[in-house]
Amino acid sequence: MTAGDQKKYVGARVSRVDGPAKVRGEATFAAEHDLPGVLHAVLISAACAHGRVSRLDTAAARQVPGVLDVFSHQSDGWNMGKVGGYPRGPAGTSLLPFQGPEISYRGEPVALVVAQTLEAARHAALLVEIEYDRRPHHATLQAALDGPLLARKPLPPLGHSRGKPGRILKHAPHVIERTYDTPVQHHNPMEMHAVIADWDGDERVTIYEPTQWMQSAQGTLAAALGLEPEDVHVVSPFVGGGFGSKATSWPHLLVTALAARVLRRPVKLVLTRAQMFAAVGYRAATRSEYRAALDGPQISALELHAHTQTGPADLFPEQVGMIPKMLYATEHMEFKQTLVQTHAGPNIMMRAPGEASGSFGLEVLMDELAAEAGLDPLEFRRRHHADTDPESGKPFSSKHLLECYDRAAGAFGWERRTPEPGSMKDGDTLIGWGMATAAYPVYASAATARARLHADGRVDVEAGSHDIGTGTYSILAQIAADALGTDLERVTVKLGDSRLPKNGYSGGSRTAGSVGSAVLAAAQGLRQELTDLAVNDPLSPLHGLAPIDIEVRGGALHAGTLRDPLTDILTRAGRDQHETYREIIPSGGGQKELDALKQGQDGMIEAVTDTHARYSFGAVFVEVRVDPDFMTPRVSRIVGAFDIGQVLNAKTAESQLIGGLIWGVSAALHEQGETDPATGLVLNANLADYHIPVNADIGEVRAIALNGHPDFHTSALGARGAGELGIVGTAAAIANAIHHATGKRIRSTPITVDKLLG
Amino acid sequence: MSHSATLPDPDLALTLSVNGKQEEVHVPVQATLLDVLRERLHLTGTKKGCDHGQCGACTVHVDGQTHLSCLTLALSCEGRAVTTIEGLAPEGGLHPMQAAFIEHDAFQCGYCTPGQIMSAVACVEQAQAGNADAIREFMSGNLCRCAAYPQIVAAIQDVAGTSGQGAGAGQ
Ligand code: FES
Ligand code: FES
Repeated sequence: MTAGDQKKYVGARVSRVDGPAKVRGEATFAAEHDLPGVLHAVLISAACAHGRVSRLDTAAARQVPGVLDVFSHQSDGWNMGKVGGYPRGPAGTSLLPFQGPEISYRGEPVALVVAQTLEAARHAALLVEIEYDRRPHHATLQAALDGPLLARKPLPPLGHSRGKPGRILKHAPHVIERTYDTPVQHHNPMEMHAVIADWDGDERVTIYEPTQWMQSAQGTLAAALGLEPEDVHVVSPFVGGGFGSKATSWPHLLVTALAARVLRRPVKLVLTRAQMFAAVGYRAATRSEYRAALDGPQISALELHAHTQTGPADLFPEQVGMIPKMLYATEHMEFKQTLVQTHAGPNIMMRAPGEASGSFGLEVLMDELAAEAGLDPLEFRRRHHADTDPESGKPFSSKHLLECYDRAAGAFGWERRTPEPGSMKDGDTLIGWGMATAAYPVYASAATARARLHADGRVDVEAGSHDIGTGTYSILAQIAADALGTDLERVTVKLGDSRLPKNGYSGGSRTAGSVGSAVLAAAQGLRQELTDLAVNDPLSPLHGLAPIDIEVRGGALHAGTLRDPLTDILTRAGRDQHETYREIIPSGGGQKELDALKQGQDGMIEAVTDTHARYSFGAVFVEVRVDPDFMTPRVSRIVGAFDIGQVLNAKTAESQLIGGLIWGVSAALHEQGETDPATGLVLNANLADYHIPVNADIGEVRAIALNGHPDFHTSALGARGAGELGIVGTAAAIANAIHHATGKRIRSTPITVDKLLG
Repeated sequence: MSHSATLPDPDLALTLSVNGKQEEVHVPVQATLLDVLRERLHLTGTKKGCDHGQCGACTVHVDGQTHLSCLTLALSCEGRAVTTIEGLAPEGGLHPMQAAFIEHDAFQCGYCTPGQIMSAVACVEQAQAGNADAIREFMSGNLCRCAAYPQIVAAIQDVAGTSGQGAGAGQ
């Protein structure tokens, strides 16, 4: 890079490059790939949480005209090889479908109907007769805590202890004990999970599915069906939201692929919305039990014992301790987490897994402690600001939390808050103002990318990564356009194809920093190679110059008044294109992570490295208005300020942060999976009964992304992710605002009217 | 619950007018407009988000009125003019609402977007876009899990020329 290089796009408010395709309905989502002769499948999910299928009769279903087959555990030749469930393997769960009559979790796939038309398959699915021998089940965290059926597993690696919290808590005069609960939540991206499987012989298959991690389908199908991973071609150019549920493949992938292989025709399966509440993961319920010792205005010791739900296998932990361990300067702290197994099925990561649920308890507790200490909640947090990472003792890579507090509080008008609950009103309406701190670890991945310049000036960028609505297409185009000094319109980004250069899963807010840095490296490499061609070419105006003196902008290399268009360099070299491929390993990682990536594993680089603790930070301020008679709360105003390093695209970054803040509203007031105690099944498995915010639920939302603080300890771009940070702390800020409005302290989400009237 | 195993004649011939084009289809009587658009006519701009009338992703215009195509039998559309997202603007162009959605970043994943835009166009045409609160109310049948709600309101206000009216009142 030299001083006069183009800096037109990175950081600017650039409209999404895939916008026109999306607003015209031309973006092709998984179920929309048009394959000749495609058959339609309908999945039948277990209406039982634990037991076995005692009778499964497909005779009537097979009579429906157009039905080709009905598959289940009774089908021959459906034995599968073992697959690891995340985090120990590539699949969402190690529990394989159709391997026997046993039902180990609710919604487990039990049969698949395949027909010529969707209407026939749907009709036939209603005719499959299934009976169950039901066994006792524990489908909720509470039921499992109360009962002795399933195992509880302490998770030593997640535990943490520093100082002498036990001793201090034992002798402290002022100890506050509080318990906070968060419920099961279901991801419910608007696009339902779908698969089209299209075989070429018995050993090679193309899979169209919406995914945040193409290697998951490859690894899962390879292990279960004995294929080579590279013989599984995954195509996923557009993903209609994922939020974690599309990070891994799920059992319906396997049954669709096998059905297509048996029938020798492409088969398409789209899950129903009800099935989006079954075997595609969920956010586990959590219970956080805190004890805090207060010494005047200071927390002298903090203890968190957490119980979190998980499924009958896999044991993915909802990491509620992530943020409480590191957010505040508490010298003495202990954290323990126990996993509680249930028949609710495999849980999985959901937008800020653990950080969102865990920050609810921590940030409401901070509000309660501030009140005990007689301090303003913001002032109380400032006094506990951690200058270095309390968990690892390492310096933060870049931390501007105090600036977030200042910016957000200023924009919100926090100084006008009166501390007494119920003291702020607008007519009869109760007004409450609350706040919370946000933090999210900066994960990274080894990453690879290719950049190609064509003789006509077009640029291709290729990365086997994903755009799940996060703006990946746009930021990668911006990065390449600036690095090659060209116009955004000339750059085409290709994502969502497993044959493109390999990248890790798009989760943990790491795609922008990691894949973005690989694209930067590839585009800079391309520019450098073109520069070398030019300075070594006697016909170039730049012949003989030092590359360090050469700048790139306007589609050409420049040195003073001399200019050589990139396309001329190619033409003179007799080439119609030139490409470069680059691999990068972000700091904190090594060859091991790159090798893992190339083998299709995740290879994530953790937030805390040998030298730094890497986190993004933020502050969220919320106004609620509560009807005094009906106690209905409404969030009328949110202001958040966020420290996300270098902002790559101000427009899409703000949208992600705003989306996160609204997810916080959803967690605070709306979302909860309800379980029928009798059957263990989800009672509200549809979008009318499972509440998420609609437009009228949302007031004014403002996200401020701090600028001018690139974090080069996290990526070459200095960028940190923005997808998850916005949800962290927000539900607590709303709970705190509701307390300020009403004097009612609600310690479980969602905060519904029954709790406020109770 | 018992279900009859006999299907009605699957070969019901139907002529639909979609985006000004006459389309001949042969569909079972229970086929929804949504499934006919997506699976038989390959007009996949109209999205399925629930199939139960709960999300708005499948919103189309039938004779100029918004309809949830997942709750509409294809059969009932014979002789009526169906407009989908693909027919909103002339080939290669953008309807002002589509342009405003891009400008205001009124979507992320884009899956709810065609339905949002079909509703948004109706919101302005039916003069329901006078202020932010009216828009929020009108648009509340269209869920967006990416939560682009504030940007959707801004895009509609821009097209309706009501920017600044009731934005941020939050009530
Ligand atoms: S698909 Fe029609 S309303 Fe959801
Ligand atoms: S843009 Fe993703 S659901 Fe609305």
